[in-house]
Amino acid sequence: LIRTLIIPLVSLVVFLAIFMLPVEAADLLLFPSVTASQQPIPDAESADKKFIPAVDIFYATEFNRALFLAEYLASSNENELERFQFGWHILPGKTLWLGRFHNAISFWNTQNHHGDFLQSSLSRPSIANYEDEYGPLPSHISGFLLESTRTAGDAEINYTAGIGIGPVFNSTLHPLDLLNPEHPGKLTASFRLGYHPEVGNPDQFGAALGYARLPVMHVMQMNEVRQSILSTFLNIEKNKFHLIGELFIFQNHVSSVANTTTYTTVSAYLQPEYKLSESGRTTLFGRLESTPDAEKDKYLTLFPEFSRSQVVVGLRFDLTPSQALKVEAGRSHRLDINEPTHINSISAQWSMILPL
Amino acid sequence: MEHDITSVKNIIAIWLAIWALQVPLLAQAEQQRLAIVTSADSNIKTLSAKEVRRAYLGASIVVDGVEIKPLRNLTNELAEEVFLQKVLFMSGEAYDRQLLARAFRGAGRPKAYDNLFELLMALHNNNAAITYMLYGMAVTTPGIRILSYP
Repeated sequence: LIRTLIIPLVSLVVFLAIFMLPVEAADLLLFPSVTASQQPIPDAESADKKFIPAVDIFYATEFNRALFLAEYLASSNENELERFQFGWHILPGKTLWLGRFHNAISFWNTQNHHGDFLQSSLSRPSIANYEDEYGPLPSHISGFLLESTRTAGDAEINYTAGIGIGPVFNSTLHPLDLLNPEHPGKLTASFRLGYHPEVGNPDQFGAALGYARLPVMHVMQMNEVRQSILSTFLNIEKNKFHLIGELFIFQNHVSSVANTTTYTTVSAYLQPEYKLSESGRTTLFGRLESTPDAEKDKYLTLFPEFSRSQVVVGLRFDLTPSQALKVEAGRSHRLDINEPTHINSISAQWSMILPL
Repeated sequence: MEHDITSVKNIIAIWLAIWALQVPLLAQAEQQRLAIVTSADSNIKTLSAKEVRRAYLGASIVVDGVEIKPLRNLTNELAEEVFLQKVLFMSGEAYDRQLLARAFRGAGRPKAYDNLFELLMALHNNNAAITYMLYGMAVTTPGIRILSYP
């Protein structure tokens, strides 16, 4: 009972303290969205239909050199405190954070976080899916995060280093829940280096290294997976054209009581986008994803919803500067051995950002 | 010869007319002249247009030992429009969206002021703060110093 009461009370006190601070600047952003998707069920007349209203709430504030940010996602599927970070500007361009943050190993996730409106496509690449969406990589770390950015001539170099407690596998990956911190998670760390050829320009290239010890629960002959990841990313925006892509090479050292087996897997996606109109309101996008030999990786087979390959095409129409309508069709080849080889899906989403 | 004199007169008349037409344009250019300003007590001596642009786009710019803290001036529509066109080279909508994406990534964004008194107080309270305003306003506002004309 004490435990049940203490956590909400401490959270309430922290929130009240933060809101009562004489802040210099504060941002409260809301990302409401409604997603409808349909996926035909083979050998059946019906289809798997989903209708998901959601709102992502983001709050950030600063006072002198102190910073705070929080992101909470509430939807018909989940309610989760996604990010909760206290930061300190240790030097110009350098910030040290403590709390739960997104793992920098995925460029996509640290660009768009849970704000559906920010990304052109409706869906995320399978490899960049969050833990509760059957993503096989750790998306959330609870611990320390160091962010640094510095200019070098016309260019900007930034790095992000994070270390802390990562997720646990129990039917899906489960990151540490700050509101219910009972968790046997182990060391997870990542380091990402990014390069902007021109300051302020969205073009960026970079690479990241990651390591995670993932305890595995309730799986026969699997106790722990030690994951080493190397990833590279690119983001190019030229006039009406936008290209985002990532390549991951990861080694999963799967340990059981008897032995350890190592699997090396490569995964990549590339998403080109093109603005069809002069106003930039209509964007055509597509995405190719591939994880060849995914079914040979014993760890990946724990994620039947994971797509070993996927093709996505869609259209985004910006109704207003702060509202977008997206439609997307996809054909994926999932790892689930009980499902047919290929699954077609169609989705539509309305999303918004407030205020803009 | 008389024909030549007439031609010369015509050319001079046209020349003068062109100059006369320039006067309102020059006056308009003067009206739209932008100044980057800081507090009169600030240690910042100079700031290039490139540094100003980078600071407003979120880069960490350290000049004369201080990290620049850019403030948005929304008290004057013309100043904001000129700033977006001449310094950032982007529309207000594109800039707002870029700033929101930055804020969402935890990088913060320049604080915006729609009240001139509060903007000037913010300048006075932080010697690393800069903002932009029309030249006419900058030269008549006490307590601030012009750093550059982008």
